[in-house]
Amino acid sequence: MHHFFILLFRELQRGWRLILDGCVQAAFFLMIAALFPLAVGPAPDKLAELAAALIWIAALLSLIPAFDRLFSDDLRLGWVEQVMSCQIPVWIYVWAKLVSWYLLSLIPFLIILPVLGVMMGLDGQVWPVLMLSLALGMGAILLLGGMSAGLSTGARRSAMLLAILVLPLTLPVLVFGVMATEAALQGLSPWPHLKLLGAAFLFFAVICPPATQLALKSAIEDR
Amino acid sequence: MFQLDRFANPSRFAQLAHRIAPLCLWLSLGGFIWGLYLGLIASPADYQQGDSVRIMYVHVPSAWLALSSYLSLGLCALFFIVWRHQLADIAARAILPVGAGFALITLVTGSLWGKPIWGTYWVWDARLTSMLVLFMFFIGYGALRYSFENAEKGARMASILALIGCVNLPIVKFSVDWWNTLHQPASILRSGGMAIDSSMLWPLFVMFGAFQLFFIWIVLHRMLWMMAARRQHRQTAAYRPLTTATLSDAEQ
Repeated sequence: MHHFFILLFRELQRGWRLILDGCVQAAFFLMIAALFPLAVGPAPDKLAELAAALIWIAALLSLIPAFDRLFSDDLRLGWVEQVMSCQIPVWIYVWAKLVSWYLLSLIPFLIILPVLGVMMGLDGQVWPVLMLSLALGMGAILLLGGMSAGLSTGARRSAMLLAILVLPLTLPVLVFGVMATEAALQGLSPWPHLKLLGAAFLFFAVICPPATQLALKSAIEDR
Repeated sequence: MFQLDRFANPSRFAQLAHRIAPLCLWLSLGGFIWGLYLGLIASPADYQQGDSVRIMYVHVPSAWLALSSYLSLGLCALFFIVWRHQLADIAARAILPVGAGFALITLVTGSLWGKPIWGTYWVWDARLTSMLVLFMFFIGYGALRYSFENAEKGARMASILALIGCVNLPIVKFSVDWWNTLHQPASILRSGGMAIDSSMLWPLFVMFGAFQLFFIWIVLHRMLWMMAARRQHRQTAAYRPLTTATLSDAEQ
């Protein structure tokens, strides 16, 4: 456990210096979301109906380009080998990495989300549900993205590959996340969907870090 | 397990495959002829769907095979990750385009059937979407597998992906039971007996057998072909000094 905190502290320190990247990501998020009203048409009632889905898709798409850099620097600098030679299980390193990314990329998102909601004309009452579903869903997406980033290290056209690998796996997260917000919009209880979303998150939390470990070890093995 | 080990020896496997493959091919051709006769001529038209029900005899077996090819891909991936057995990797490579093809046939025949019956080529129903995702997994597996300089590494990475992708299989199978959607629920493997008349069940089973045998034949055939290609590659690599020597001998 204390290895985890050491690694997490290191990741947070390094990540904080790259917080600008997080801001760029948030700007990208805002930009994708801004494309929808232009494409769908600016009618407020139509937008309010679609707002939850649009925010979810924008969040998903804006997260993906960042995954490419998740492990590439550490692999290039030999940090993963260092971790392995210290007899620390790689999945602990993976968790530290993902938690630090989660915290750092969540901050710009949280700042920009309310602004976006107001622009989309989303009902204020569903805010907590949307936030909660995005917080859970982003965790699940990050777990999947970490795995895909591990799998595609060293591949040609890895950024494109990553999107193809992550997107089919994120479908349950997207569906439950949007359904929770939709239920809240219609005055129903969002809890069934949020619980399913939580179950998806826990499931990925169990299978993804070991798979990432396997992938990172394979990536290192033949160098 | 040692029973399986026996056939994991490539030359013994090749010996057996050489014997089984032609048998499967002829049996499946016979099965296709018989099944198509049963399905297209001998079986009755549906009282609601008319003759378009006959698409089922291609659609359902290819859907089953698409699922089982992904399952066998996952098993091969498991064997490859755990034992690093080359034969498992060759099998996975042999299965990949076949499984993707069956998934595509399922999607295409399903939408051709959907147009007259549902009135639309495509709906975003749970079964259809999860089948599309299965097809995307085949594509993703292929894309990952062939985008590394080092083929061995590509095989390992793709195997991990194939294993993770197995979570989609129960979703495809049970999507019609979990979500109440347009695609009809399971009518063969379900609790409470089959919901299909035997005059339609028989052609379906014959076609399924023919598809299954065809799958076995094409996978074995591709595996033998890949093994031969690898052997040839190795031999030419090993004998290259010799051939250049013989060439220079001939020049003199």
